[in-house]
Amino acid sequence: MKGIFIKKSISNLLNETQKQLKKASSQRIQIGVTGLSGSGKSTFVTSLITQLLTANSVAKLPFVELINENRWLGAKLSNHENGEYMRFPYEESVHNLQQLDSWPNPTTRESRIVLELTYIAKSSIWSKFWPERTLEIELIDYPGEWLSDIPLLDLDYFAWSAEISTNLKPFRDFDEAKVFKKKILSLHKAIQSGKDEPVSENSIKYLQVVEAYKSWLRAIHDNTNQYVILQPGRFLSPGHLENTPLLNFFPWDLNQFPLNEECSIIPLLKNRFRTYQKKVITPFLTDFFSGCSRQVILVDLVNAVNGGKEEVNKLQQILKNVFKIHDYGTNNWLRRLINPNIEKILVATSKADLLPPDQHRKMQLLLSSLLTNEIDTLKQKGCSYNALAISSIRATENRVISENGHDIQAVCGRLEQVADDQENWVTVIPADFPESVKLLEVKNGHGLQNLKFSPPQNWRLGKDALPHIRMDQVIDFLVGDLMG
Amino acid sequence: MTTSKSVMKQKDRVLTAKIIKGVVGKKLPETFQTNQNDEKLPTKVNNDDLEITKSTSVKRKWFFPALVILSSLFVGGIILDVVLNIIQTRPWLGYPIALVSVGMISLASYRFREFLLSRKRVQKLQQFKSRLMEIQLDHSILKQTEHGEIALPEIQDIFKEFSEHLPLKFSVNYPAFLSSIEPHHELDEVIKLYEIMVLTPVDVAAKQLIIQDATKLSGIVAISTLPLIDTVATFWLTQRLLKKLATLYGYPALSSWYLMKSSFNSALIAGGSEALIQLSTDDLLSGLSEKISTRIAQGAAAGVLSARLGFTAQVFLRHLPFAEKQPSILKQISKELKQQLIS
Repeated sequence: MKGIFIKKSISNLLNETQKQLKKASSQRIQIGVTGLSGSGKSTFVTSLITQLLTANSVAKLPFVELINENRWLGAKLSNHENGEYMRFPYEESVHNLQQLDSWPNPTTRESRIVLELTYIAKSSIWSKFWPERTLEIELIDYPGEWLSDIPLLDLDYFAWSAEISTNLKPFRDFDEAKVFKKKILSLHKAIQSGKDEPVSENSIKYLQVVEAYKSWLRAIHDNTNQYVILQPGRFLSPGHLENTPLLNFFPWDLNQFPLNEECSIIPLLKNRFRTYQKKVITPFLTDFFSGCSRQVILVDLVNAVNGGKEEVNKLQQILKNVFKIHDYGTNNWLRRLINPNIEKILVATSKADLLPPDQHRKMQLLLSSLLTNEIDTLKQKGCSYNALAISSIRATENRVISENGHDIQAVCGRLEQVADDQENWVTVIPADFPESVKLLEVKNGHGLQNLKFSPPQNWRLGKDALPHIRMDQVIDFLVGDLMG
Repeated sequence: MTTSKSVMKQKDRVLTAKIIKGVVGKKLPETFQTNQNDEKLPTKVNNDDLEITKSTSVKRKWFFPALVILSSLFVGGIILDVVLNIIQTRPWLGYPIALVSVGMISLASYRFREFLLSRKRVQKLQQFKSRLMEIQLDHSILKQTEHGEIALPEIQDIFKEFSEHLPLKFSVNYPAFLSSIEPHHELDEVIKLYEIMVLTPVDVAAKQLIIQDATKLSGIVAISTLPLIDTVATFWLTQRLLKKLATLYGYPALSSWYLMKSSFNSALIAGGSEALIQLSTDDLLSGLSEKISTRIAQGAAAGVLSARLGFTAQVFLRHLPFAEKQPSILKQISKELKQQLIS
């Protein structure tokens, strides 16, 4: 009896020691995936997970040194999610790719997913006793629209109203814009006449203006390829804030609709704006950026270049705003607020598969040229930076076309939507990609704006490699150093 | 991406409506061929421009061959004279000696030929490396290939030649490297890929060799009582290390004397000497001499010197320049050597 007790105790002790050792030998990091709407964040996360899950079998990842050194043991999706956040719909994204021949659904709310990577540590005294290690990576995805809210923290309500009214001027011919104008005019009249005093946020006229503004923003978002700062971002992707009073406000252009300062709607709108800043934007920044030690910033550079010099300049401004968050060297309010500890930043121009390989270098050069000052600042602060032209899921194949003895690089892919009488497979010779903003003429786009290719056909998870461009370099850059 | 034949046919069609025209667009040819075989080699090459620049140095070009011919004639003459004398006086002994002499001369000629070929290859390697360093803007970005400075097919040929001479267990990585090259890989990526897939395992083996031999030398120096033994051991182990490193990197016929001379020359030219000077034995000996006897500390110092020499030879023989800074690699070696000595 005594013997059995001792045996059990020793066994328990050994198990506990083993658990503690395993815990001690594992580490966890958060990787934030940032990018404007349409930059391919969901596709990136889906591809990253798939590449890691199939690294031991079918995936082609020659740049991951760990795999070449035969130290990679495997990866699996972890069940450790605490339930506080929505899980990234990985299975749904795979289903889209496999069954529906469509891309992963765009992100509509913040989601997270944890992957457990197991590997063998490089030879050291410690690794002789416990060679097997675990690295947990938490990928954080959120709607790109939320990113446009960051500049709001620097503005008060009327400054924002004036700014957004100017930004939205080119879209005043939209039907939704006319409806918005009509509704706000009606509210203005009611206020002026004093019929509806005091205006409450539950009054029908007020809510109608809110809804009209939301519809206008949605219409611009859905019908234009241009970079437009659409604020507040939550009006487009409300996430869990849908139908909450937090989103019940709109810009009031005092130049167009003058009001007395005593008017009750002014404190109401100001108050709603301040609450939005405090309860929506600030928590987003603290939750998202403070824990992420590594960031991926995805940029759809092809789309920007298609729009011409003006669009590229707009993109540059948006990227500079994003980088302000990482400007942790200066003692600004953002630093005090989120105190990020960013070790690595990867800026990737997604959709590199739209261009032939000989133009990828130019994409990288243009991207780096847009962020020269920001990169220098980051490097001075000891933060690693890399710029890559990637394609999370490669939708095209390369072709070399011979013309009069000259070889021309082209891409060939299957179009997403075509008319019945057209072929869905097309070969395209894209124009030369500009390697600097100076080379970009105002009117000359890149000419690929109407081409949307379908994802790879007949791909099956675990059976086929998911084609990509430079995802192996992405993986090596983001986690390679942690698995030494 | 799997595609059926019919799909391939469709794929090769060009939708003219989607072809970009205008200032920055290229016009679509009316007829074209899809050259799928060239997919892996997308960069255009002009072979005339890609010939490795031959060294213009003609300094003492005649000296070495003349010395070899004269020495060979002299030694050959003596051997011939001796053998003929023996045949005339004792024919039963003369003929076997003649046969052995012919065999030995043939072997020596063969070894000499191998040495010359290896020397030629290692010289070509140095030219290639200096050329790479010239065009390298930093460790990851190379100048555009369009200007014909260096091109993908050429570098593939060079790597093929390098890896063919590696020991079998390392040369088998070359096909894997080749199959890993994707059409979108740029020149610097292909170089990095070669480094990761082919060269890194060789580097790991070289590092182990250097540490192993340095540890051995440290041990011998620590336990030997005669300075003569120290000298002989240092000489013998260093020669052996250099030969082993040369074999590892695919130049087995190079003599250790040649390696020693060339490595130091190369290190001096490339500024590697600075790195060597920077790492003093103090790095290793700090804290070690208090723990162990002076004799063992002397052994450790001999080990570090041997490791440094091995590293210099490795830098010379390695197919690509080290991307990492040399002092940090030397420090890694020293650290591991220290661990070995303590354990």
